[in-house]
Amino acid sequence: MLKFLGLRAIRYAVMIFGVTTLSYLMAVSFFDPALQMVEASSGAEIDPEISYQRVQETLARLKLDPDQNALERYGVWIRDVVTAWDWGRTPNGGRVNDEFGTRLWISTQLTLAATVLTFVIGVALGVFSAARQYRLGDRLTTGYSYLTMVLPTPVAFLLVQRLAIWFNEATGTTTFYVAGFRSVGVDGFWNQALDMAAHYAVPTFAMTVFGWAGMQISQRQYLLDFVNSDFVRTARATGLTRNQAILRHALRVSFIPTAQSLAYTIPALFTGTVFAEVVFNWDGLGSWSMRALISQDVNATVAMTAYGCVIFAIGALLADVFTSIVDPRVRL
Amino acid sequence: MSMTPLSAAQGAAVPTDVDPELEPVRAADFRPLGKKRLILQRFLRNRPALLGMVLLAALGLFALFGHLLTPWHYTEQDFLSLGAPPSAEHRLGTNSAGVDMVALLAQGARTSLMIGMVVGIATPVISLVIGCAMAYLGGWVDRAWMWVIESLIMFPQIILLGIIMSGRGGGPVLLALIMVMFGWMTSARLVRGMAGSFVDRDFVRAARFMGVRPMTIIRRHVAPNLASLAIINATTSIWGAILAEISLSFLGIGITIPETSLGLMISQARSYLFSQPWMFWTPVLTFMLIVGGLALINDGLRDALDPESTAGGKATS
Repeated sequence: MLKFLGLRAIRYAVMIFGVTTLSYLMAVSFFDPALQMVEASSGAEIDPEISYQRVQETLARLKLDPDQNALERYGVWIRDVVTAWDWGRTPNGGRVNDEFGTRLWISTQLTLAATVLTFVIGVALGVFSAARQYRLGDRLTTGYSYLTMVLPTPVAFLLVQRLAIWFNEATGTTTFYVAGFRSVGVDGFWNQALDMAAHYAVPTFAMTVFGWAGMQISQRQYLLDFVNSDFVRTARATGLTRNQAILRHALRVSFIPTAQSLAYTIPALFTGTVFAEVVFNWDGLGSWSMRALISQDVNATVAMTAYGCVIFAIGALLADVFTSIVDPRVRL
Repeated sequence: MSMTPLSAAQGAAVPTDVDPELEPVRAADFRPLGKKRLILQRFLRNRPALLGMVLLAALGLFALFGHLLTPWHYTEQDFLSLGAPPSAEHRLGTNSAGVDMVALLAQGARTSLMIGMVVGIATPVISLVIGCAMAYLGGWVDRAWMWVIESLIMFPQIILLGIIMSGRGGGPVLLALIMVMFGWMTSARLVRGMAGSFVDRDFVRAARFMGVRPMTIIRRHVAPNLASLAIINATTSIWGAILAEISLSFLGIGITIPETSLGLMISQARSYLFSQPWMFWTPVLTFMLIVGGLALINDGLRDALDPESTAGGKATS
């Protein structure tokens, strides 16, 4: 088991390295932060040539010289990452390590509850609707899932946000906060906890309610594949009721593909977090990486790529572990 | 073809009470229904699927000729009515910059449908070819491509597209091409898995021993078996592409002004959800109609292509 997981981990480590390298080279050759900065500071300098030179000097000091050869720059960058764990600077002079670190915690807080809720509710509803195929409960849950799957995520989140605002206005209070992740100047443990809950409720609700659809539909499909199989029929022939047969024989088998699909739901979650942070105005990794892309910030973009790859690898390894737990045929 | 004996038997079974002398003439007249025509007939018999076709055709016509419905151009601003509600002058109102919503919607629908068509047709074809080739060739080719596919799946999509699109003016053609380039991996994996069960079948082996070249085998013997999967994939990937365009434009890394698309319109309407609801709901409803039409067509295709389905009626002509 450990040997297998170790081999997988090495494989993913190689892939992470490859993808990060690719993204660095792509970002270096496509991005031109100097031009952006000159445009942003236009008006401050009268002569654009001087301002361009000044921007270039600043960037060179931050090891972001746009005129340097891409491979040379990559060499400098990878040496810093490997030897000093220094992921470089942003064009504004901030350290990627620090900016990433503070936001990592914010994003994790936002995602964790929503992830667990999405997974648990999705699987539970999938089992429920498969056991009641084509009855009212199944029609309602599956229909709802299809509806949320075709609704674009930003539209869905905007609607939830408006709903919360409407609720606040209707009750004349500020029960829910729809922007930001905490208020300034709240003291005391309980007050802070309440404040946190008020900020978390809306994004978590939005991510959960519009997130479980994929899980529900696939779990329903997996279970249905097994409900009509021979071994369940045999189990029923021995005198079990339909529900008992499903519970004891079909359910566990149907968890195998669910566990395997875990790896591929993680990237989707990454995307979902980006939208939640942009719509609900959280200063987490998602909105940070969008700002990095728009301001053509090479180092921050590459750091986010590496983070996304690591998250994916963790999901894939977890999928392997879960598969080996639920699938008796897999002996690691 | 497997349908021939069945239809022949039914064709022969119908005229039992007819004069036996006419029988040979009828048998000579009778031509078995080709597979393509059979599928077409099964599809056309499906009322909801036809409704979907009509809906989509209407939207397509609107996207192509919608700009004739209004004297305004989608880059033209009416400074006398900024964010005006629907009126006789502007039948769907104007947005906060004073652009006529009919003109904007027609152009936006055109962009979004173009992206949907290009991505939705190119992606399944590419993934079909690569998936089948991987399954058929096996060995190191398979392993090498698997590394490529897994690495590309690992690469966070938003960032990958963002790196290429950002600061590039956000043209719809570029966006569509990039979405094709980086959108085929997941379904190629699926196709590879399904094609794996065909590459060891006797008809493929026979072809190989007869000396047919690998690419011809893939094209002639392996890929057609997965064509129905690819066709169904195509309809879902059309709306997937339109959905992705909306998401990307919303984040500011998709289509940007002066071009327009449904996603950009939704993103522009972000802060006007209450004050100017027409700005938000027209693109959202248009998108919903596109998805609705595609879903109906998808259902119809699924029934028409599945030989065991009885939803489209029995397999008689």
